[in-house]
Amino acid sequence: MAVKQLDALGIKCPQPVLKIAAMLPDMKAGEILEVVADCPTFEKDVRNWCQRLKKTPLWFRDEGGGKVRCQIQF
Amino acid sequence: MSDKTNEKNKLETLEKRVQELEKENAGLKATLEQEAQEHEKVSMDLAIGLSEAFVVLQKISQGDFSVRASEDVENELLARLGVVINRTNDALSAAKAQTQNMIKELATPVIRVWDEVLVLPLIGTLDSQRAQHVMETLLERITKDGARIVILDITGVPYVDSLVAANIAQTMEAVKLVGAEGMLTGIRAQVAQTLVKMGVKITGVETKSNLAEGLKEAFRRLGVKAIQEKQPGD
Repeated sequence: MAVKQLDALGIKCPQPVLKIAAMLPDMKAGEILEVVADCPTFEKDVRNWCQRLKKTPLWFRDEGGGKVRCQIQF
Repeated sequence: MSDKTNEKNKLETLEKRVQELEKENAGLKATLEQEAQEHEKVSMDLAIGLSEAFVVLQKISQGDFSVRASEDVENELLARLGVVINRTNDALSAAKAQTQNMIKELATPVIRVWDEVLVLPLIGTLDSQRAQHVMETLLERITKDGARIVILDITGVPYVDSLVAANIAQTMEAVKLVGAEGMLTGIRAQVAQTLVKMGVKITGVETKSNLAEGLKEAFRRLGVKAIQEKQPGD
């Protein structure tokens, strides 16, 4: 199964989370979305979003320079 | 007062002012932080609320009308969005139910062609679900109209297999049980051949080649004479 990519660099929360939400119609159950963002509250917001929407955050990786990458299973 | 004392007083006044400004600054900073936190909370609530609305709309678009959007939420915009989504969902659900009812009615058009004579012309495939609906509708109409003869015309049924034949036989049996006589018309040559090849038998049911023959037989049984008017010039 291909991992879908989402670039949310340069936008502030909650816009990255809204971009993830906008992907919902294209994501089937079990599919994985990889997101990269540089908003300081990105990880906290994504975790919060995943908890509320019952999605699984697989991992978060600090890539330096404020950049955080994560994968979410829908 | 010496210059030195004056300088000292000025310095003290300035120090006091600096302290006041620092205090004011700290207050403003705290207010800003609080506002930023509130702004972040509202933004996230909006983002999550919109995400939930997306999920509900996605399910509705897939034909699942059992889902409901949250209407009882703090944010008024999201609450209104929830109300609109639920109203749309209810309207779509009602339209779907209405269409299904219409299809059901069209699938079983029971026609009263004469006093005590009902005709049910079937068109299209006859699966178990439809056969069950045909039986229910027919029995209901027989009871309601006090029908004595029921003609089931299958001219428009393209395919009859053993299951469909069993369904037809059951329907005819049920017709007898409610006190009416059943008749089967319109078995096409191809269908008849298939039934013979498959060894399927529809027993205990009177059959006629077409609906006209079936009607003639029904009138004969009721003692009704059908007279054909002469055309002008005959």
